[in-house]
Amino acid sequence: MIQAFHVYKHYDRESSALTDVTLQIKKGDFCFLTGPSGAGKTTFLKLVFREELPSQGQIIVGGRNITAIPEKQIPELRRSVGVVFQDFKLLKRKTVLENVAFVLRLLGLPPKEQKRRAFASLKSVGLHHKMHAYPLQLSGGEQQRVAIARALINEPMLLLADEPTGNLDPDMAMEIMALFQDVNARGTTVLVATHDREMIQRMAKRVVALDRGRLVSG
Amino acid sequence: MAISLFVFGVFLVVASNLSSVVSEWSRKIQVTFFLEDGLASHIRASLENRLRDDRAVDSIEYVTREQAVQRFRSMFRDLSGLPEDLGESPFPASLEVTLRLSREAPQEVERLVRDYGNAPGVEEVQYDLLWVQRLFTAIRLMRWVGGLLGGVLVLASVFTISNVVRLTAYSRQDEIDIMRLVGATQSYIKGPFVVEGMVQGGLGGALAVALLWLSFHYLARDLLASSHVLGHAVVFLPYGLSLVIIGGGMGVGIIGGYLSLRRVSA
Repeated sequence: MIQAFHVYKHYDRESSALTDVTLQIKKGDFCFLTGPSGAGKTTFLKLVFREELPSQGQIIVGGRNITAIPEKQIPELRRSVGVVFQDFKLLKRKTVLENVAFVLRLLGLPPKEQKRRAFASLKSVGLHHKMHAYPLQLSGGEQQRVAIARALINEPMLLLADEPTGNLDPDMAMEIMALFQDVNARGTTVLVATHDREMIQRMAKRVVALDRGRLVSG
Repeated sequence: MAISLFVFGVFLVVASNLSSVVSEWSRKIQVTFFLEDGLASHIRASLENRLRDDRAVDSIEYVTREQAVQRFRSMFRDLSGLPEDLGESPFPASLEVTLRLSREAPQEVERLVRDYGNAPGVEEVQYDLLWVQRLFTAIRLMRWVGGLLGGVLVLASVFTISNVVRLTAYSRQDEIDIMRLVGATQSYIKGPFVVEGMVQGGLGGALAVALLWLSFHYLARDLLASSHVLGHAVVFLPYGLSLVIIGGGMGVGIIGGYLSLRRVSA
């Protein structure tokens, strides 16, 4: 599903966010991307759904070389990838339900279907009772769950999650992981960036470790 | 925006009135062929036919000696006894040829004089080339000024709208980023902003027409008390041109809205 070949990313001349990263994550895998803060986890995820371009190297996602795809195909790529952002990235002027349904709206689904599926997705993260609230009326943990519901609604081919349990209590974190496992069982490849070692141990999945931009294991 | 379109509208009112005046004046682009005394009517008829078939000629009027005297009398009442004093009419018969209004009119005047000045039966040709040339220079100048003014104002409007829309877009930059990240296409993101530009442009255009109408009815018309300039009634913009201003405003708004997002969402 994801193939990275000698990927480098520099934001400036002195420092390098990623250095010569080569790795492969197979279709249907569930994989953790770990490492201390500043290791390059978020940068790697950003490269995978083409928020940024690598300075050097190639990345292939779902059989497409995303470092070479034309600008016009980027929205299509992003719609096939569910992303849970570290800072949630919810639309403040839309309700929770509208935020979750937004992805389906982009896909052109009928409004009724959008609502039905958005409600179901919110229910799976235990937030259906807050569907009419606005993001800023929710706690950090709740906003994170809305972001997760949005990422999962479309049963994407690939799920990228950046510290998805950072704001959640351990029970809720395990519930979210169970959700990820469900979606993984239905065929979605899952890549979770986290530094929560305890959770990684409990889940017993493949772990890819980065340190100061270099791949150290996995 | 509305002000730019208003200024443009003022220009259009002036231009459309001036162009009516000009077309009125241009009827005066005439070449008069004075005919020999006692010219046989078939020669005159053949000359008339030849002229009528000429591409530059709009109309021909045959003025007899008697009509020429009548005209003289009505134009110069004080001298109305002069023809009698002279014993016989000093005015020859003539063919008054009015030219079609075209860009080439000055050259056409010269050509007509060249082609028909020595035709049988023609004694003398009278024309005022300088007048024709000045008239056409004036028309050309007006078109240039109009084009230039229109261009500058359209650019100013595009700039204004694109800045207004850009401000809105900046204030919603987070939202735009999120939409992009979850896979919204450029057109999906830009659509609302382009529509906003179009609505603003359309409203600006409508406001400009309204302002123009009000100022025309309450200010300009009073100033031009008799409402006549050079013998021509001053009128407001034709209906179609008002729509052009509103439609133009919308078009400019669309361009402005589109341009504003080129940098914002890039």
